[in-house]
Amino acid sequence: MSGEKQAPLLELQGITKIFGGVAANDSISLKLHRGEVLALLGENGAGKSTLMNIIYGIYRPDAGSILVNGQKVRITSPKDAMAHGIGMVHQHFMLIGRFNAVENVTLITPDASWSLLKKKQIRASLEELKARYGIEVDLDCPVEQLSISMQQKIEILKLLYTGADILILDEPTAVLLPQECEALFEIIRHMAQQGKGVIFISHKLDEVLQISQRVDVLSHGRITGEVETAQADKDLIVRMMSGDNVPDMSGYVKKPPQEEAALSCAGLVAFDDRKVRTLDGVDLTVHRGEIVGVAGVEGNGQDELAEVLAGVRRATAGQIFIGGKEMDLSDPAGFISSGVGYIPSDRNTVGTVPDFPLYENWMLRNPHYPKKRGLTDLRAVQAQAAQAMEDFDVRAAGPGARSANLSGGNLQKFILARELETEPQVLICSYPTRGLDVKASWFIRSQLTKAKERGAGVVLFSGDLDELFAISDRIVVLYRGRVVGQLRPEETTAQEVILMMMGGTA
Amino acid sequence: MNETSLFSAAFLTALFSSGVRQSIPLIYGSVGDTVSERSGVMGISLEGEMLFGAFFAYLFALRSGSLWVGVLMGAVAGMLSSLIVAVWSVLFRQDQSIVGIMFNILATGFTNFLNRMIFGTSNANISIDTFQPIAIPGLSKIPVVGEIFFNQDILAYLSVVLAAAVFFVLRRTKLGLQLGAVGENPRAAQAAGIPVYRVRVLSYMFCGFAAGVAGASLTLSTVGTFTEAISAGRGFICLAIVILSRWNPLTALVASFGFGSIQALQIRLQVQGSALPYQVFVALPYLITVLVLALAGHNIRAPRELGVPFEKESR
Repeated sequence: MSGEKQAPLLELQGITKIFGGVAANDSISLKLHRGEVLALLGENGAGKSTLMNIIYGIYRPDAGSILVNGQKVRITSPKDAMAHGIGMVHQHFMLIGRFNAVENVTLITPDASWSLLKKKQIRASLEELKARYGIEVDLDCPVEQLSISMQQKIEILKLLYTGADILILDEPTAVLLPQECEALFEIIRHMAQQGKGVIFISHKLDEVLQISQRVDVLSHGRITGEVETAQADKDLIVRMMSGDNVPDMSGYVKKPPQEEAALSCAGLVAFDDRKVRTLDGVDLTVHRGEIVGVAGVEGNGQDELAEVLAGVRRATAGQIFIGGKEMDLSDPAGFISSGVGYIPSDRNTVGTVPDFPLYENWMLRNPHYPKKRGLTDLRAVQAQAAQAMEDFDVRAAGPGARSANLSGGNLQKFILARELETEPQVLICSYPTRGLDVKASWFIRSQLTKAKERGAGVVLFSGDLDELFAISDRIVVLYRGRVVGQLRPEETTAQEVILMMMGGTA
Repeated sequence: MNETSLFSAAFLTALFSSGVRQSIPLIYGSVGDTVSERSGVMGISLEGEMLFGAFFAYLFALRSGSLWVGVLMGAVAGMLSSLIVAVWSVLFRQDQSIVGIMFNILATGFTNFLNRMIFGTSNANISIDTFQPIAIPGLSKIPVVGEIFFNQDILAYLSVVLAAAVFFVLRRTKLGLQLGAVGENPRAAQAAGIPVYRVRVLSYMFCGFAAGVAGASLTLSTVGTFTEAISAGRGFICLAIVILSRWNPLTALVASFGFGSIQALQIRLQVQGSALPYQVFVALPYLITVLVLALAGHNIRAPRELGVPFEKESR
């Protein structure tokens, strides 16, 4: 690599950042050269995002220094970072939803605040960048109306527009479909070829090996290993990431479901928040002791189906039966008392109240939490929550910790523990492992199979086909608000499911 | 005055001309609040800042003999007092409603206190000469319309200039985009290199400045003296106007004129003498505010992070 002789494009020396007594980053040092894609690999909570936020000036390090082109720099704000040629696509996009792409790019131009808007000029440069990098995206529509992958492309356009040399992509593939990932990788390779340095953050080993030249492994806030991708040993990297062997579902044997239906629904019709009819007559039966996986391209009615089955969104037509009893669709509490557990796709705002301590979140959706003479028995609630946290390996400061302070995996385990506490007949799980690391995902999956073996009917919505094939007894494909196919995992292939998801017939 | 004269041209001209005068404080207040709400800070304390503005404008105009010194000091008083709220709600991240309400109570008490300390307890404060109407050559000769819109005092004309200027800044400059970004998604704004706290504090101070001028217009444009609690809820009507006008300063200008006209009508109905107790008429503008908000307030989308404190390093 030619860049090796010059000073590295970016160098970190001994970066340390303490959050509430815990070192999120513990004296981290790394180097990034021109034309290189450096992968930063680590589980959730390993400190990857913290480190990148430090480079980008959002957090200030408690110790350590940052060098750009061999020069020590002081970065105290994203503005400083941009001035030094550092650009970042955040995990949560930094876009103003009401603004279109041109307006979002205007915000990061170096023009003075009082300058008049130059929409035409900016639009023209964006069109040029679009053409050069083969990025297809609408520049005039408010970005909140665009899909996630489109929004990501706008974020990348923003970086390209600034001409940044150091490009940080924070888990860019977490939100993408497989074919969209390939397009992203194409863009990344293009950027590296033009002499830019790219830091690619991920917890997915396969894609890291595919895109990077070098891998740095981060675990518990420290760099635990560095390898050239060409000489990478997969098992070694996995051990560096998690510290021990990673369990998977390969030993799992599916037990056949029972005859009796746990949940059935007929002719469900529902509208989403924009009043679009996204469920268009869904019939489905889930038996006791069965996991039914629901597949579909995002926006084909999965979110609404999950919410309707959990009782939190009202279907405008149709019937739902839980354990043979017809439900009142306008009464979410009736669903809870009939034994419907629900793991919503948004664990941070729907699954829990972020500012509540865990033991208060424990009482939500559970009408039978411990009481004494009709009053809440807080001590018993806390003890119950603490016990469940131990059983489910939820790592937090205790039942009094604010749920907002938990990492994604720990929070999801907590929600699962809460929903399973009452031994529900039916469990609706919406993307339960999305964004979680390998170990946490395995834990969630194995708990779902335990619930099934206990006799619960589980509906598993997932974008991860491997997951659906590994644990579901039946896969149902949703397309445009209808069930277009029901398949047995052992009798079908991923290609067939994908084809059905796209609206093709099997 | 008999019943039919209610709808005579002379009556309507006088009514709407008075409506324009009544709308001046509403325009300054709502345009100022539009700016601060765009950046995510609610102007609950508008009412109190208006009171400070009104009192100090009167005090300095009286002592200096210059109305302009009065307006300037009123604006400065509004701006400095808004700094208290800005620091508390933006930098210390306290609940904006609570800080605002506390501030309003403080402002009522404090201006009353100053008023009695300086001018004694007599109700008859010394009156000063108010701003005089300036007829705009040509335009003021247009029948009806000329008398209503082009024969007003300087503060009325300046309020239109302010609304238009703010509209231009919001629509056509990068600053306008930055304000909107801070109010919609402060974290993204921060990532785009915008100093979120500074933008919020400054836009809130602008709101205080405008509220101060609004207060000055009460004492120096209409009444000519300061009476206790002279703002009489206008700050809250401004908040309603901002919502109704969907954070657009030009629409706020028009809506202010509407509310000002209702106020003018109310005063006329009162003096006309009626079987209804006068309190009914006094309550009319507020009642209409509530009604209009309830009826027309649907499908209004506020800046997403309006009223939500922003924490720089939250996880």
